[in-house]
Amino acid sequence: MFILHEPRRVPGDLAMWFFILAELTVFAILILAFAVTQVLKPEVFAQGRAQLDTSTGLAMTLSLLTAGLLAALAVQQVRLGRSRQGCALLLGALLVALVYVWIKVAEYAHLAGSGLGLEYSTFFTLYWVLTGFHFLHVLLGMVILGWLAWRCWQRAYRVPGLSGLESGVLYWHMVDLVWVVLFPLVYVIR
Amino acid sequence: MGGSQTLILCWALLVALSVGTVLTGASGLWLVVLVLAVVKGWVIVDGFMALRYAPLLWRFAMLGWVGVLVVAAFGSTRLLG
Repeated sequence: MFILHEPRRVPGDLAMWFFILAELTVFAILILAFAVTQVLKPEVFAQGRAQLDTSTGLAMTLSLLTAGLLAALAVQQVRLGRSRQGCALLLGALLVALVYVWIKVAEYAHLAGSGLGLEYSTFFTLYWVLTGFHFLHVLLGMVILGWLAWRCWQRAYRVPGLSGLESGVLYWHMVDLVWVVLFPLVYVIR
Repeated sequence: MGGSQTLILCWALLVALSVGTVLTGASGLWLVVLVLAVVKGWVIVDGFMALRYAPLLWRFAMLGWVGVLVVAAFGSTRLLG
């Protein structure tokens, strides 16, 4: 008896994967810079981290992951020919991502208002650079989610031509992936 | 189990692991925090990104990014610090 397996395939466009790998390389350098500097200046980092609220970091984590779930479910729906449901799920992902933005902006405003800006200490220099760079990626991801929702509303994606949709959603998952490493390193480790 | 159910299960696992990260971090169990970060990355790569169906090179490239970075970042913080 023969068992037929589907050939292994990379979801999305290959170009998007190279873009993701390039982005992850840049994030890896920044994250390692943060970690190594923490070794060199443990007290500065301990003091800086004490100014951050872990529960705020957790709330941001949950909003990003929930947006990721909704985006992944949207791909499933479009794959089943339900473009409008996919559109609704992508809009849901966009709304949940807005929660992240709202929390992050509130945190930035609080820190800036407390005088904990980019130049306050080495910890906050790296905190602003690292989380700010990630924040910009979230904003770009939201633009992509909005575009994908619009294209789904137009029923522009049909099997097997889903690589554009998959690529856009993969970008969002990359944002999630970076955050699950950032969150414990920046907010949690004491 | 259908694809949607798998995704929801992945999300629930990620939520539980994130809460676990905060709880174990508060207890000073940094090694557990490290392991949880790797597992969360693994769930995103294999679950959300669906790389469990991809060629092994791509799958291991992404899993390797998570594993090597987490071990290097957290390891240097704790072992050298």
